[in-house]
Amino acid sequence: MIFSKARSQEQVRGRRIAGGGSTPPTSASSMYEQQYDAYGQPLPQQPQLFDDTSTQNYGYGQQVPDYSGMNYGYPQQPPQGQAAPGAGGAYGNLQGGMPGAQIFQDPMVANMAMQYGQTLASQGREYMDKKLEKYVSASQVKYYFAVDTQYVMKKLKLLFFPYTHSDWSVRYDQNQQVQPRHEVNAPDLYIPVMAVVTYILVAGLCLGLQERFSPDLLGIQASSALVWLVLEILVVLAILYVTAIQTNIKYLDLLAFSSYKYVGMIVALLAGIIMESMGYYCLLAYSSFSLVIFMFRTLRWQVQGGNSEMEAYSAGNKRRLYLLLFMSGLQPILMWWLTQHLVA
Amino acid sequence: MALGVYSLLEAIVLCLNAVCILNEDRFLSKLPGWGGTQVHGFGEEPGIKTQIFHFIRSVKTVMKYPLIPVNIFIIIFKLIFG
Repeated sequence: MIFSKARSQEQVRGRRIAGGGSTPPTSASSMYEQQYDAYGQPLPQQPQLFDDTSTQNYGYGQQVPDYSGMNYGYPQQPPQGQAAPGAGGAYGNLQGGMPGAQIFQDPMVANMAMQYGQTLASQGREYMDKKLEKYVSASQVKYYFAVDTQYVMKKLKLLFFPYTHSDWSVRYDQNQQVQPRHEVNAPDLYIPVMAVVTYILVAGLCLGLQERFSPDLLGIQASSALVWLVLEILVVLAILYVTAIQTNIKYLDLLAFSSYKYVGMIVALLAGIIMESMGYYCLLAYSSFSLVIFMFRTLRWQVQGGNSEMEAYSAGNKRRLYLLLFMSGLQPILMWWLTQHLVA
Repeated sequence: MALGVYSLLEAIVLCLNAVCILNEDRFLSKLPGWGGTQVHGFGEEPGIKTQIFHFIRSVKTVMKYPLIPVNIFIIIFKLIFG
């Protein structure tokens, strides 16, 4: 169920991205099928081949845009600025009309209105995307969710048995960021998101089994987990800044790496449910051990592999090593801290 | 330990307060290496001390004025809601 959701998530994302904002979902081959303008409202369906003088009452009280230079013989059009195309005038024929609403039934005008609406919407979307790009970088996030079942299985296996894997390098594409489905060692955000949500659910399960459950406790667990995540990332970013280590690591990578421990936590919690404290501590020890090795090897490549040619940074290498050890060592501590209060 | 988002924000505000409170004349000028305005050559790694000084200076420059209303808001909030 998790994996099909991944595929449908990625498909939905793909479809949404491929659709863009500038072309309507249906092919604009003919004017005769139901089309939607950028706001999702139906445009006038059939172009009128004759003047429809049956609807002369004015329903909305809006004014019709005046396309100067086009004279369709409607004498009563007051000159106004251009209203939102496709929004108000589209229903002119059906809803009792507006002054000169029949202008939209003309195929050329309706075409123009549709195109104008589309360009407006796409411009607005581009502007918003550019503004948000600096902070959230939405176009990069989608790469982290491009996973498939094979990748998830291999990654989970790596999280628990990182001993036999030998090549931890990430092969980058030339211009694009590598999609995790093509490369096992690339970080992804799908497993972390699923792991965090599953952790919250399993925490609720643990609490319920000990008769300590209440719904707001679940919310407290969730925000606590998120806050520790944010704190860990802030601490790592601060250390990266202060020690002036130059790496290729991005913020989203750090988020992904910090959240891989939730998988181990889930397993330890489930073992704690089945076999009380003994199972919990055993599995916690084992999963933290394997996670430490996993993090160390992955991060060593990520933090150092970018500029392996520059050997002059000997001091930097030592700092990098310390940073790696710190990050890897922080994981078991946090794993223990976040799960300890849930096990009887 | 149940940390909430609000506790995190409070902790961040407290830490920023602590950085902004450091007095320039009485304390920071006395620190060795504080007046480092020359920028290093490209490709050299700045030391930890210079990075920390940069950080303190930039936090003070940026956050000195916005922190005042934030603190006032938090104080009133705590007075009313405890």
